[in-house]
Amino acid sequence: MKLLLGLGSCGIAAGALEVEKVFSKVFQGSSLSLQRVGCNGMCFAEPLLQVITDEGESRYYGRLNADSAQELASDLLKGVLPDAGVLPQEEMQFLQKQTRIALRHCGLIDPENIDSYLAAGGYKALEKAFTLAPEEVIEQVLLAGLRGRGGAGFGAATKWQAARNEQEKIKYIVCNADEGDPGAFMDRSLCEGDPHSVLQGIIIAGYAVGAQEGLLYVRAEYPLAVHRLQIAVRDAEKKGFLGKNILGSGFDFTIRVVQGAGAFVCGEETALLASLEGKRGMPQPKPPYPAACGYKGKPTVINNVETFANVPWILENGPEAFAAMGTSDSKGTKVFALAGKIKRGGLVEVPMGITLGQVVMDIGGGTVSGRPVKAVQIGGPSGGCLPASLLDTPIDYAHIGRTGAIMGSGGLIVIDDSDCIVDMARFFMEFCCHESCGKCPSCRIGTQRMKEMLEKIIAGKGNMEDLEKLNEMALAIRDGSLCGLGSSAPNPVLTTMRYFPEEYEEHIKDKRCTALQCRALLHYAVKEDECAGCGLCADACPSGAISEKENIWQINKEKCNACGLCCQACPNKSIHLCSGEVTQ
Amino acid sequence: MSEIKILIDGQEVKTQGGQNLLEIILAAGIEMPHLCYQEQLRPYGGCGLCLVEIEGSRKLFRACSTSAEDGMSVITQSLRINSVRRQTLALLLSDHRGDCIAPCKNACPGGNDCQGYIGLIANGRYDEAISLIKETIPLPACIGRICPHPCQEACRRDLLEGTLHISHLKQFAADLDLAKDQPYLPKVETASGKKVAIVGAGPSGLSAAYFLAQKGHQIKIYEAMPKPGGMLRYGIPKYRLPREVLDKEIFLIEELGVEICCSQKLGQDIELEELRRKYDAVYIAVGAWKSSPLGCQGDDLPGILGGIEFLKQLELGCAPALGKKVAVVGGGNTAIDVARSAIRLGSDVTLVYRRSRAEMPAEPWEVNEAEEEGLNLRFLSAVSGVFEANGQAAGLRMQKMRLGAPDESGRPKPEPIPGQIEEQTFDNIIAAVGQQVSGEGLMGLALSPKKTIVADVKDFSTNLEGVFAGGDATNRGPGIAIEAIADGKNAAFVIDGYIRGEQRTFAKPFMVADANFSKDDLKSVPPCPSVPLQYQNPQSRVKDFSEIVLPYSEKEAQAEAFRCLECGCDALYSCRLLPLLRQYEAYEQNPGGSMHRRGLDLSHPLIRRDIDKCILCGLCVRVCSEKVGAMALDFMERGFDSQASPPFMQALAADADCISCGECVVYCPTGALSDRWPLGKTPPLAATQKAIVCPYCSEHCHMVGEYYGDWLLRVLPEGNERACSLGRYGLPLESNAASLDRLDKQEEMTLLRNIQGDLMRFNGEMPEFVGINDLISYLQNLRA
Repeated sequence: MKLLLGLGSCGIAAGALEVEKVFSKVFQGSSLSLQRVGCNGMCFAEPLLQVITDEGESRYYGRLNADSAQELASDLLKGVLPDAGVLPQEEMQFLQKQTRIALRHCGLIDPENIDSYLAAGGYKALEKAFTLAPEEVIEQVLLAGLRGRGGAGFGAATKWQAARNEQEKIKYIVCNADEGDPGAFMDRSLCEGDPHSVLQGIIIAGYAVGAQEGLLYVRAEYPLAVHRLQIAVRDAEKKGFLGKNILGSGFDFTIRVVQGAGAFVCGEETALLASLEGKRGMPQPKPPYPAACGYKGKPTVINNVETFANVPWILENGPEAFAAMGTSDSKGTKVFALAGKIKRGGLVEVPMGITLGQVVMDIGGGTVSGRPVKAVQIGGPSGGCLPASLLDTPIDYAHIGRTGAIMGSGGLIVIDDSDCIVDMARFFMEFCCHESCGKCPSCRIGTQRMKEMLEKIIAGKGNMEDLEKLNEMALAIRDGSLCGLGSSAPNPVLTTMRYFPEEYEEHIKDKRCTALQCRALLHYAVKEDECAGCGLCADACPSGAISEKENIWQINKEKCNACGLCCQACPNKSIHLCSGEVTQ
Repeated sequence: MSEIKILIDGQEVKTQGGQNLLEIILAAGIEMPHLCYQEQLRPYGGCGLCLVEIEGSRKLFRACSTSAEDGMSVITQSLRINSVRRQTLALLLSDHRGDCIAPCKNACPGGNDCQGYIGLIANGRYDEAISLIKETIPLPACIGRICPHPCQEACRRDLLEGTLHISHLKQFAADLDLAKDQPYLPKVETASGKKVAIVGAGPSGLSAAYFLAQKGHQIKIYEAMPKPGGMLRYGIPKYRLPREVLDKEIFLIEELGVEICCSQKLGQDIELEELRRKYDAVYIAVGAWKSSPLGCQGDDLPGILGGIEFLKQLELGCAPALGKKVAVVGGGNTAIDVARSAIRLGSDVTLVYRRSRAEMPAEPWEVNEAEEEGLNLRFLSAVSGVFEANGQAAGLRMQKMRLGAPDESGRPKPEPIPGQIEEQTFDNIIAAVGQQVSGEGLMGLALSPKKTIVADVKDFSTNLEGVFAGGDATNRGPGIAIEAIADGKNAAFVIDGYIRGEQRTFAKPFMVADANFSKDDLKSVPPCPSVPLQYQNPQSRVKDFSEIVLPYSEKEAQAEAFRCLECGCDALYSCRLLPLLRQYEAYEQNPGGSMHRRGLDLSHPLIRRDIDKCILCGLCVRVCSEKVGAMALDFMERGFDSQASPPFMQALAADADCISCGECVVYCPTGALSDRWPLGKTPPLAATQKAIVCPYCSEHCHMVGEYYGDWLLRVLPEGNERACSLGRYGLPLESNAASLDRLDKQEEMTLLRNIQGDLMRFNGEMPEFVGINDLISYLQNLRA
């Protein structure tokens, strides 16, 4: 019997270390032991224990705590597999509907133990690669149709070939693990759950391109990922997968883990290179592209974590198997981080071409509140906000692009009807504004001005001309910014204005926020038929907004600042939050 | 590199491969805005203005960071490109805090460069000061005395110890000039052979003549009165404006070839049609010479004098003798002038005004001066009738008023208190409640209901071809003298164009102005007390009409001039942002919003950092690292708060990497970085450039000297050369050594340390300077 406990950052945050202690205590002196693994993606059910019986049957015990773990451990010690705590069939759909390539080892191996990876067939792809000429490796990646998973979807093999073609002797591979999108955790989970697959991908790329060194740029806010990657590099060196004359191939390659200080813009490749060189992370004009002139002026291939994690699978299983999945322009699978109001939040990997709806509804289970899905924010701050009516959009680069959003690196934030679209647009604009490197005025000042305009609308002080100005400014930022982050920064505003114009108008014309989120547009009101007339609300009100008239208590809309103290004070729950004619 | 061909806006251009598009476009003489590109530095791609479309691609490219490829077809202008440029410039403007021109200059209707001449006076550059003043005002000695000075109302020193006496400083410079054997005369262009007739030798007509004469036109002024000067002579009493001052300044205008024919009244001695026939253009500036009636019962009784008529008669020597008790009705400047003149004639004068002191249009200091001289003030009294005795006006019936709600002028509207009516007898009643245009002799000219001439506000044209009009006689009616002068000057610009067949209009050009300036912004300004004006004492001054305000001594003028806060931008004449803001009318699109207020860094004795004007083009950072190799500046913070700053946000003087070469200043496209010298004034001036050779070492670098007159303002490196701190600042420091006396010990040491920064480059050793005199003599020795 194998017992796998998910100990990614997400599991640890949910209390998996306490659970582990309980198990260790109970199992002390017995033949049973826990295996520490990374997250298998089912973050919604963590702490999560996967039990694999000797017959190969898997059972998942989720949402463990010290008490339930104590019971479960005792049962397991007795050889009993209890039914209590097993995740229901419905929740298992989360795993069943996925196709896992990049995530194939996540949740199944001990990321801090190279032997665990080797036992799962690790580093076989590297051996295979060395049987091929470098050009042949690139050919395999080309045939697979692997596109960069960082966001823009540039062909991986094209970059590799361009760097290979350069005459320079010194070349570099850079792995971009500077995941900065709010709500995205694909790279973190991969680095924490299966660091060796990432390393293997980098080494293979190094061999294909003719590079001598790989640099893994991870944000310092991912300490566990940094820790596990460092262990992985050390172990791979010990085992001879890194260093001189790897596996007797005559190929020398080293990998260095570099921590980034956490600027969103450093996910942009030229800014990332500047940061690697110790400079301020600011994008540079392209060309020259990094493939020709990158780190320290040398040819450099920059790919994302997920891109590298796909490479060993392609070599092991052949490019045809990879290309068989997905659509005509988007091959293979894509990892998504499901977050927001989703019922089953976590990390999923699906074949390209399945619809957004299948991911959100079938795998994610819809919203946690049971309320209707209102929109899906895809692609992070540079992406777009798509309405529920577009849930049947197939997930591939072309289809997502046509909606005005971008595929992005895989953040999927689900929004239900208690979320305000305008406020969400403001949030992303604030993020972009804060993260602007400051180089281009259109991004540095433009995002600030757009943020201010959205704040004005949210405060009920907007006018319809502001929408026009927002649109004009958004287009100017798009056209006037040097890097992709600047030019895509207005996307959340552009897409929400395109798909939810009525919600903007409602804030402006009716001074109403139907989602009851924008505080300046909210007030409380007493439901007369429910009011007992006790007057406790008036005592609680700090702004003197509540007064009595013939035994009926009323809240003055103008004076009410929507603090909610009256609502808490009301013994009858007869005070409700309102905006315009909308009542909670 | 092989030769390639590209198409720019459809024109084939041959060029060497490997060049960036911006270089090629600029070399082809095609206009392309850019703020962050400099040939000697690596392309940065920041400002986002040099956008082009490239055929076959949907996105816009930055020309500075796009390499030309053979066969490329490039578009440099399109609606989309211009719209992005305009928005980008508007965004830059929305966080560009400062004032292109100082509030004083901005407030002056004549656009007189107050900060400029104050700075020149502070530096003892009086000749340059008068020539600068006379670029906009031909009668500065007069205006300095009589102007209600809107400039001073705008002066930011008022937030501290009180406004600068700007007008008095102007008078100082002008008096000094008039006292010379050969006062300043502007250059007159070669004769154009064209003739312009001007009707009216008041401030507007004289100004138009002064500026048109400089353009080489033959000018003849027709003046109705026996002497020229208009209201300056006949409407302003001598105790405010001595006639010899006026005469001298008019004489200087005549020196330019202007002919003034007095006692020639339009419609009587000359006809407008005749002038139109004989001259290439006519400028009508006849003024507003008629006093408004009191507008009450009995206001037509004999014995009531008009204020303006009274002042005119006084000047002509034909004023009626006044009795013991005189009433002056009105609260404006003319009323005060009339009252104070009557006091000087020995009468007991009462001023009757329907509102209270606070609402008086007259300048408060003049009211105070009049009170000192014994004027009785009777407020909240509206004249409701004039009563008679023996067929003559004999007294006033006055309705007591109280102040009510504000009227359309914003002042509280006086309302009668029912039943409170008083009567008082007076020997004379003088009505000074307003002036009107008489309308005489203006045959054929379209007039407004107020009888003023209808003139276009942008080009001063009237309904008659070739006839222009300005000053008190037009549109809004009477204003202040400097407004009439401004009309004359601006009309001269339009008329000069008209004569040459060019359509010109005058519009005040866009300038950035800091609308939210407050006392907080002056926190670090050391106090500097005002130099008060000196007056004759009231007892003696009422005895005659001699001038009552004493002029500044040189010492006083310099002390007062040194109080100037230098609000106007140092880069006014070199700014690369302002012309683009105008060209793209970006100010129309300014989105507003929050602005940074980080304040000045004046720590460095030679370089002034005004980070709120920074547009973050990065040129300073890049020149410092790429060209100088000093790395004294870098980018700090991020997002909206990003800024170019010495590392760790320290003050520039504390930056050990700064070698004070001033290259960052040379490259700065705005006024965010500028040259200064400690405690001197460095007014922004339209300098002329002359080639000079740096005298301080054997390299003898070629430099460019910027001069105003013969005053060396600053020294810049020539072309791509890199200058050292001595080359940049040595000569200006030497030529302004006098102002260095004002340094305290700490400032002195800072200056010495900073100027030394770059010396080792040549000498390999650091000279020992104990005081500023060591530095100056060191410089002199090097030169020897």
